[in-house]
Amino acid sequence: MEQEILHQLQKIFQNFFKNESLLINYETNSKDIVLWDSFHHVQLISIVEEKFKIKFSVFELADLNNVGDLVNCIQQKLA
Amino acid sequence: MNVDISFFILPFLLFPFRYYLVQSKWQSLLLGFSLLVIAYHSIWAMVIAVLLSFLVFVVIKKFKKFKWITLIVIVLGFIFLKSGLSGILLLGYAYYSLQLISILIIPSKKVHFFDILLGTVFFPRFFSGPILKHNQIILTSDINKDLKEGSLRLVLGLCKIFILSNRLDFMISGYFEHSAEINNGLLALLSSLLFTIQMYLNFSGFTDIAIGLARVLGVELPENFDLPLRSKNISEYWRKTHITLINWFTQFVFYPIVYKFKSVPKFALVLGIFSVFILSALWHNFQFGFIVWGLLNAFFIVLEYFIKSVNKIPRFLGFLYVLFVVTFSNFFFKLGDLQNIRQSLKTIYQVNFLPQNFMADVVAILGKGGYLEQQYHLLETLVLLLLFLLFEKSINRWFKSNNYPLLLIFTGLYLLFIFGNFAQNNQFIYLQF
Repeated sequence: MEQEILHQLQKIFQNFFKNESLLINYETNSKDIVLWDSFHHVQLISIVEEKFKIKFSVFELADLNNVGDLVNCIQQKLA
Repeated sequence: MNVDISFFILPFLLFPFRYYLVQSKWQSLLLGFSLLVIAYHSIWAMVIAVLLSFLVFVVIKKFKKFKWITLIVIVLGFIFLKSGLSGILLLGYAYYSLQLISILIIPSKKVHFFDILLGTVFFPRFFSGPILKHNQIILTSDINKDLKEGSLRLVLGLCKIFILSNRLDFMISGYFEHSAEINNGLLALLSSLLFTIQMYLNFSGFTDIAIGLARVLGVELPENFDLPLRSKNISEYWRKTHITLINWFTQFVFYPIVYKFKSVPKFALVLGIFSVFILSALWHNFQFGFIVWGLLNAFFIVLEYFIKSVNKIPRFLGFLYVLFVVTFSNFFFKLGDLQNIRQSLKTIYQVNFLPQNFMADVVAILGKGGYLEQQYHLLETLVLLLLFLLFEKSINRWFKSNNYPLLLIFTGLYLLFIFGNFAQNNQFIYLQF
């Protein structure tokens, strides 16, 4: 399931950052993607919520430090 | 508050106990020692920290429905102290109150009073941060590595403060204590620039000391600075300055605002950024100058979001842009109250920018005071400063690595002995917040 979530996030990231060649892994974080700042983080998470039909608590956003954290959080919410 | 030499020496006397005590007893020793250090400086600070930690623990454990009221109580306490009504400077309140608010809003699943109290009162970070995420103490396990790396970091911090920051303090006081009497604008500009650098060195130096001491005692504290003076735009500067404070405001102010108004993203962005910086300004002090400082920084960050070409300028120009904006905003930060600012701006408006006599009207003023009366000492300070800033990245790397730790420690202590300035006033700027 993790791989499937990562695959879907890959597409979301590529669309959001308008970069078809962007590749992400579990360690990818905001230092690896220039436009991934705090403001875009909220927008990105909103899109993730829509796509996976889940809801994040606004205070959880700061604990999503990399893609791996995001995958784990999505997995917990889908379970 | 004067932080005397025992603050730096006593933790090393504790260190040998780490080898013989099990972790739980070692943490108890740290807690007891932290309470003693705080009580030594202010009994009230210790009492309030313990009581507030206990209150938050009880609310999280038993009375969750009162968490927002407790939060309001903590904020009211903050306002009471900052407004000067109390007449008591409660050390550390501005820092640990943010930590306690964070665990009120996001409590962890297992809550122990001991853990909350240790996170609040752990003395290396009690006085000026860094602010711990979720009030959590992170323990380390490699005792020998901790001693080496902790000592290196501590010496680096001492050098930044006593070799560079204290010397700069003499220079900038030449202008800021007599800002109504200058006869050229260049002096105001240079003094503000030097204050910007001094504040960075002082605060990052104290952070290095806190991180170093904590490391010696087996605790890992988060970083608070990441070479901010090398940023090429203001957004980058604020990702690298007082990191733990900005992260706290990002998590508890910026994200909620932007998330709430996500359907109108531009409005959300502007509101979020201005809210963070106005609250951050008020966190420092309730004075006009701090609010202007906050508004200026927020303005330039928002500008960079809407005018993307600002982020594409060559690195060197970006560096100058950051230096100019930060210096300009820090002018208001330093002066603080409205009357001071008004008087200083009036004077600057009336005088020429360039001095008639550079040596008498700029050099002599900057060199004025105690140790720096002679131009030689002024030149010495500027050379030391330039060398440090040019090689800061490499210096940080050496002092964070394990290679030749004893050599580096003794070199640092030797430089401290030769070039250090140990005047008692204005040791740690961020203690006043």
